[in-house]
Amino acid sequence: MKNSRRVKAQIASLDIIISVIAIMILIGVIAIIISITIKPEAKAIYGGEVFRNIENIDGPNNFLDGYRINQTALTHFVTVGTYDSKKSLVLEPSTQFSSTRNNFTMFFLGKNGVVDITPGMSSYGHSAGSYSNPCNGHKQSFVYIRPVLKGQETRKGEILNMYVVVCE
Amino acid sequence: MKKIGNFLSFSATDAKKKRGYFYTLDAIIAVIILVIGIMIITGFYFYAPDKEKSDAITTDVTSILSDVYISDICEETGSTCTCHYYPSLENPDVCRFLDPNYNLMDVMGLLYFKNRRNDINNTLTEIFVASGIKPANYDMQILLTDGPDTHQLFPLIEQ
Repeated sequence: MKNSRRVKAQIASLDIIISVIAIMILIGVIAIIISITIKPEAKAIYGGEVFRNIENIDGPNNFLDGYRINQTALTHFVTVGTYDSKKSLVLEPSTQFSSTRNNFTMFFLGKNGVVDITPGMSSYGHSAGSYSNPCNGHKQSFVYIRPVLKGQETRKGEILNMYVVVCE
Repeated sequence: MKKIGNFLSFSATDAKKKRGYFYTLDAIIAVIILVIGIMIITGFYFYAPDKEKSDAITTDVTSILSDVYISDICEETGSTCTCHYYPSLENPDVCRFLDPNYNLMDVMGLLYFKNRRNDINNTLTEIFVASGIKPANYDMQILLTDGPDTHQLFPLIEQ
């Protein structure tokens, strides 16, 4: 009788151990499948600190005032000075990004697609000219979005989305 | 004796089979419960609304409505309006109410009191939906409070 109980207890504990191992294996397999199938997705961030940095740029490069783009200052920003000097202005003051580790690309999207920053320049920064995959070669991207009013030289303004994609 | 032996061995195999069947059933049910649990937990995690993002989009939308003036997006020449990106504002029945010093919020309020709800809907669709400012996976409602009453400006409710 005693022997029979011991055997039963052994069977029960073996059953529990096997089921725990099976559950752990199952969780591991699911985690592996998820990590393989789900690729890192660019997360859209609205109202991020990158825009605060841009708003706080001093001097002739100060092209963003709240929700308005100053076209003259924007042209100055993208044409005068090096990209590296702009990186520290856009990324560093109040973010966790670093101008040595991170890159950024900036572009505008309206209802008819990409709107040129200046005539002939569709995007500015790390992947200039490629706004569809601006973080090619980087592990992940942070997509900052803000609606802005952008005037044209010959037409009145359009309300569109300004994108700043930070690559890490 | 041989008969009894056969009978006993048959009973033992049958009992083992039964036990095996119950263990297998137990394991299958456990796996099903586990998978359902994981699906429910990940479902909550992936589809939980992001309050911070909703707040930021709301701030952006209200700021655009209050910061953008008619003079920013339309040119008025006499009795006509040229609003290249917003054709619904070029409608003569809308244009005659526009003033360069009105912001978009003023215009929406004015059009509401002139009972031009379709024009409000068309303009807001052009500004926020067609441009992608309202993310495709978000719904947006703009309400106007008039004393104790609340009226929905966008999207248009047919009456």
